[in-house]
Amino acid sequence: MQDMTFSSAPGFPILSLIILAPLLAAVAAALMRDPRQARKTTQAGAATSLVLSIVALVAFRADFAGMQMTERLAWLPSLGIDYALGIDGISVLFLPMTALVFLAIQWVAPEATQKRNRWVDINLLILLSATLGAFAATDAILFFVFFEMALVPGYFLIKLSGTAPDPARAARNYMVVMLLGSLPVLAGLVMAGLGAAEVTGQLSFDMAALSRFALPEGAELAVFAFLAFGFAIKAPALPLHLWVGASVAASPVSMMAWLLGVKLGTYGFLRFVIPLAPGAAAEYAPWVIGVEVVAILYAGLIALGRRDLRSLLVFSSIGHVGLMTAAAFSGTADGWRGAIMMMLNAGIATAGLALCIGMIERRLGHADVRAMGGLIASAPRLTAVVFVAGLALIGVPGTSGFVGEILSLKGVFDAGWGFGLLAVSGVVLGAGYFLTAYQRGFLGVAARPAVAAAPDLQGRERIFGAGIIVLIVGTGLFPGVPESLTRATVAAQIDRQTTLLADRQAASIMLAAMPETAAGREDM
Amino acid sequence: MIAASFSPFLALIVSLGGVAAMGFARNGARLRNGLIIGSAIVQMLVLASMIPAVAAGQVMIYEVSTFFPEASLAFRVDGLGLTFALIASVLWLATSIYSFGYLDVLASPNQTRFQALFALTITFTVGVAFAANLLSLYLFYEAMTVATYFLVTHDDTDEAHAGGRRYLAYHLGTSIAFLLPAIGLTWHLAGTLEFVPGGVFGGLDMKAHRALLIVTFLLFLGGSAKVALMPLHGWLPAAMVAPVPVSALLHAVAVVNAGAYGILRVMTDVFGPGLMTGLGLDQIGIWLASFTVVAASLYALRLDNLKALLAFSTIGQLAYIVLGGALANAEGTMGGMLHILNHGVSKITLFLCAGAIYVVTHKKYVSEMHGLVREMPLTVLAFAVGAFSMIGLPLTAGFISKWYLFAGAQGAGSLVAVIALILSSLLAATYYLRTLAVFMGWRCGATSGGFVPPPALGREVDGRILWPMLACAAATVGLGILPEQAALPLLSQVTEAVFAR
Repeated sequence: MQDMTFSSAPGFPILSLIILAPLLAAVAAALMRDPRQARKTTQAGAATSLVLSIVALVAFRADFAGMQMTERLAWLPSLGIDYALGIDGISVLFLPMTALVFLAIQWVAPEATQKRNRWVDINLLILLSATLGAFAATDAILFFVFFEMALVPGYFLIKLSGTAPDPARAARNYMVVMLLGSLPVLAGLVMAGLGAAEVTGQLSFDMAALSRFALPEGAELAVFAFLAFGFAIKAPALPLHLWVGASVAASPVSMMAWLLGVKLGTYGFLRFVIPLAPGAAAEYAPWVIGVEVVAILYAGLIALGRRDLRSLLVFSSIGHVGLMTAAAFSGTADGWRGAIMMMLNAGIATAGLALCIGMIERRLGHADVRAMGGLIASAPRLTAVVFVAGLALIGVPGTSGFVGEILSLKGVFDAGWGFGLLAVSGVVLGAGYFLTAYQRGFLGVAARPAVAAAPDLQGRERIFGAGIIVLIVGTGLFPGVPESLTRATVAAQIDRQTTLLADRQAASIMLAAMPETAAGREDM
Repeated sequence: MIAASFSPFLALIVSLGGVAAMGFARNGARLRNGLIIGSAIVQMLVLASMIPAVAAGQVMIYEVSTFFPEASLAFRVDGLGLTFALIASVLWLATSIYSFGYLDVLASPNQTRFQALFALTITFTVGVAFAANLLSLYLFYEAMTVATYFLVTHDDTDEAHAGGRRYLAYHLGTSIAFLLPAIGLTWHLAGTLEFVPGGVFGGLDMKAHRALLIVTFLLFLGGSAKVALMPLHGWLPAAMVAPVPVSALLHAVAVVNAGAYGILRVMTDVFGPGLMTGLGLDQIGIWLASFTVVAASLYALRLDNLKALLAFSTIGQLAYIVLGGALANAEGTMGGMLHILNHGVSKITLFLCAGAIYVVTHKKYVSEMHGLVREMPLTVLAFAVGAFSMIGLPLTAGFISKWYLFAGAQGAGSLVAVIALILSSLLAATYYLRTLAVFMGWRCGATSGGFVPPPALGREVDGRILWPMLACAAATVGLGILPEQAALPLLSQVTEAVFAR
């Protein structure tokens, strides 16, 4: 693999524009006098990102495994850090997905539709820009910069429009946990860069360069431990999920949709943890898969007992992260593609449900199914949207959730059919908790006056509802359209891992006496 | 001989015309009903146009969408699939006409929604019939569950919602808990999800994977709750809260047959007869089916609610289909496949009769229907035809399939199956003839207060109800007299393909 980069439109910095558009809109909105105009500007910012990322999606060459539409500017040459962007089959889908999630947030999330709340709009745009940047960065340190950049608007969103009794405290807690997760990530990335520099003699944080060499085993294990710990907090993956319930409960709807719907943490597993430490990942895979399969069951059981829709969505999400992570560590192409498709579905179904919960909360002041009951009579359209999004959440075929789930399960089955059967029982729990909550909260006769008087979807909410149903069913019937974009990259990645591991094994057998050749250097 | 053809897809989407009819609801029921009947007829014509090629041994394929390299949403039409789709389509026409009358007479609300969901269910049924692989089958199974769930709860009463909850829990629950892992294991073991006549596990070391294959088979059985094999039959009586046309569609045409069809496909095209007998899976199937056949008939003996009686009769009759497949020989499989058709036509006749009786008398219990024949002679005649077919009397459809089943049971040397077939026929004769005797006024039901004639309707019952019912009864007799001219040519292609190896 001589050349890892490929630019389909050389010279046109489409990825930079996608990331910059929301930032520029945020600055413009901050300077404007007329709040209505400012709001329009912020929406235009997210819409521009969406349109451009769809253009990138269309221009993306599915048959090419490496990075495409790359951009590179030397940033801190002495430290080997570049401003380097690019997308491949692992990240290409998440740019339009993220932009779409934010556009939907701007349209229907309560805190974003209130009048004269420009700060929320601006923070949302910064969060969007940071997320897009994290997905598009091909330099490990640049990724980290965007990753950290997302913390600030998240802090302000929770503090400014959070639902906790003490929003400042909730925001502080969130910040502390996120830093606890991101510092190990930084440590892991720097160690990976330094470790590779020892092999190549040149310091670089370019992902293509970093993942070309296997680190010495001790360094690799440390990198693995740091990165896995950090991203597991972010994901949130069991057993480092404890913060997420409180944070989501304290979050405004937009942050809930972002925290649960945009899976930066699991993306970290696919992009950094496994490629940078393939040996350690393979060695500890059975343990990780075992823990995450338990996570699926555990989260499903807890969710079964939850009556507040926010809490339910949190544990559903932890279960999904469990399946995605187990699939990623299965080391199979099926599992990887499944994890990617599940992350895509999280952006559609989980984020969509989060926004639906926001609509319910705005109507009733809460989203506790015990105090709902019979919403179908007063709000049939809202109920229908929740039903379809819920079917996608639990992976019913014909919805966007299915292909990711079945591919992930296949990966887990191939890693061990016992794991597979356990994972499937977790999926059954998914059907159980969603249907139970749906029946209690939405079906039946409305006993409470607030429920009976709740208005149905109105105006933009209707367009949102129709859009999400079309997206779920469309992706459900034609999942091959997004899935085909992932194949080449995933195949190359799995190939690279296998070669690296095989090389290392061969090297350790044949050249055990010569320490400096511990790394398999005659790579692909 | 495999050929790509657009016809399967066309047949599937034509029934969506019925869904589109929803848009014309405001322009009057006449236009809406016309559109539904029109789509049903066009669908029948499309399906009929496929008969000659399929009967000549051709298999039609069409791919709608690639999910991922190993699996796609695709159709593959052979004789069995086409037969099933044809029954669904023809009986959709009959049931639609019937439901126009039924819902009008009972002044039921939301008729447009009802008809749209009905059409959607037929679309998904044809999808099940044409599914080329396990994934497509699974997709249409679930879609069918969701569409029919809203039909079950159509009356919007608490009872309907309770029945609907149970319905949804059974179908979604079992398909995710059992069918999904079964599909996962199949893919893991065989590396493919396609249906291949004779089975997909050919290249597998049977001894090494014996336990896992048996688990997979059991999971498939559990995943087909739609076929209502005991102990997963509980949804069917619960779903009886639905309006009669729905019960007819669910219990005679679409849902239960989809389950039975899926089981047959798994037995013939995933495991294949060789593996079935080699692993002793045939015995598992035979014992489970035989138990269900007898237990359901025994239970039906003590029922007085006419629809519930028909429901338990259905549970037993569907187990015949499973039994046929489990016998794992050409005769038994032919019997099972034929019974999808024959039971469908006969049972829908009985359900339509039950509905007609309810429309005229508003009575649900057999014991209240004493002497019904004086008021509704044609309905009782149709009921008698359906009942005779259920018992398996000659000159009715049920006789033909039972004949093949007996031949298959003997061929497989299964005493259990033979005994179950005889016993259940006797039991069916007991409860159906007893019901007929009450209708004829020869015998009073337990709590009979005598039959009180309803206010005169002029004739028996609305023509839109009467004629579909009589047509189905006629078809029951027709299939019994001329079986060679009906589905046999189509189905024998299937048994030849499966048992060729």
